[in-house]
Amino acid sequence: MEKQGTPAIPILSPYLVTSARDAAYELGWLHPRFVSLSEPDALRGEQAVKRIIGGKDVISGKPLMPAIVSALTRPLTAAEKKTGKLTHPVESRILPVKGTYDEIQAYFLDNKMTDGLPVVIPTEDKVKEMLTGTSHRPEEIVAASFKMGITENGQREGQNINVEKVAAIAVMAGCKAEYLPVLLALSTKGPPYFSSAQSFTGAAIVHGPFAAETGMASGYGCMGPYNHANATIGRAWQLMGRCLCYAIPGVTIMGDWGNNLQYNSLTFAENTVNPMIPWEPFHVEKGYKQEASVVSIWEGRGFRQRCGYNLPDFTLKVLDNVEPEDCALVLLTPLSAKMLAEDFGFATREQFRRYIYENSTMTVQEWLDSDQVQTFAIPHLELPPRAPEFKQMQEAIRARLAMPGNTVIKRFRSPEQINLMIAGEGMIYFVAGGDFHLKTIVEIDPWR
Amino acid sequence: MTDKEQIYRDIMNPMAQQKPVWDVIPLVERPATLEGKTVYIINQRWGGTKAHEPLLLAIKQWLEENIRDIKVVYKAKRGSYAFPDAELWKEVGEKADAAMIGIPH
Repeated sequence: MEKQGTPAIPILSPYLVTSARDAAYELGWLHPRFVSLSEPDALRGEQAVKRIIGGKDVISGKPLMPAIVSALTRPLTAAEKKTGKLTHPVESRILPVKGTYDEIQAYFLDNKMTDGLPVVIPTEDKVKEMLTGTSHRPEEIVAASFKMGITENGQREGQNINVEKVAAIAVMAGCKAEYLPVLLALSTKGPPYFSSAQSFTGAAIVHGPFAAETGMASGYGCMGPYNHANATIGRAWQLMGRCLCYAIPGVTIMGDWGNNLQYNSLTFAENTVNPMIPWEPFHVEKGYKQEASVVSIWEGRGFRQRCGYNLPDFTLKVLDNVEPEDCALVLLTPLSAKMLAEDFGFATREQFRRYIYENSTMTVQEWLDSDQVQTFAIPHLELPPRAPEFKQMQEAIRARLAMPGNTVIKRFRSPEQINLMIAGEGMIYFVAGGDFHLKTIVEIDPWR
Repeated sequence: MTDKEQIYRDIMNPMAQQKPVWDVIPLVERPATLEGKTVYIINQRWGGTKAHEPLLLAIKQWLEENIRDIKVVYKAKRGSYAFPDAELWKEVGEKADAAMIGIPH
């Protein structure tokens, strides 16, 4: 609004002031006039609203309403009128530091270059060795832009990320050179999670021969610690968020809790080798050749598990907590998939996906209560339809809004929102379901 | 020399280069008073239209009760918070003497 020549201020929750200052700086707003409420107001009752209106602006310490008036009328200071340029420091290729192991670890920690754990020190020699894992030249750009956010509102952004930078991060995470192609593939699509008050994690699932070549686990404990490739590839991807787009909790990454799964970005391989598996591999279902190596990239918050014979019913139960309008990822062990095919008649993934779509339900009121629906789905009704699918979504939302609150509706708007993945050894009949959506699939082979 | 005494040098920098240079945007001149002025309050709809409406309407009420001849226009922006509502920004530019937007979270 200031760009249109109108004096304007944002009113903030107190927990967003630091983050807003960082974003304002990135936008060139060097001396922003913010006003902050004394406490968050969203969905609060009358008592809280009264307290906030009568409370103080936590930035100026003045009563809130006079602070708002003052921010809109106070004459500008010389600093506020000033034009000029802002700069970020030039990042040298080699760090301006040398020292002992402990000194270098402290340097990385103090300069927010780690996940809090010690790193392998990325000396030039070690990075050179890492670069033997790809045929690509060190200076080749893999991502022109690398950023956390989905909006243009002052997100930190790394620019012109090259192969050597990714290799340095791979060293830090403890990767072997042969893992580098999957990291280069991942780096083309940004960090594992975006900045949201909700605590998302990314997930990277590797499909095809690359998984076995690098020793990635797809069986026992594949989603836990102990496998070198799973652990370090996932950690390297997470470190890309830290080093390539400056992930700093409370400043640039706003997950209220964070997510423990972020430590290794939920990185594992699909199990395609267990003879019990009745269905084609995930990447083949998505149109890739069996011999292709790809990594599927996901984003979500977590999984719930059930164990027992009635797998179709348990699948619906573990998906009960998926936020309306979100997608679902169902994880099955090889045995679970075999039982679904043999005992319950789901000969293909598509049949089981259709079953979930038809039988996973909620009420209109549960749908309406969702932040996701209120923040995105309903406001998006006012936007011009950009594509036929968007128009269909708008029509579905309008239809739901016209229904009584106790009407039972499908949890998912289409079967395509549901994906099925087989992982684990297959010793037991587990099913897990989570709110992960498939962001994209990237080929690994071009990065060898 | 023990491992503890080994000196590490030539360490590669893993941090990405951020944009090197950009313009400072100065603030827009303020009116001396809001008396007799048109002020827009924009609901950016984080958490839904109703999430912040009670507070934004309470701000509107306070301004109308405490500032002479002020005209306060309350509007929810079109689309979710992430969608730039160019039409509304244009309207604010043409009609408002001052504006406020809120509230993220």
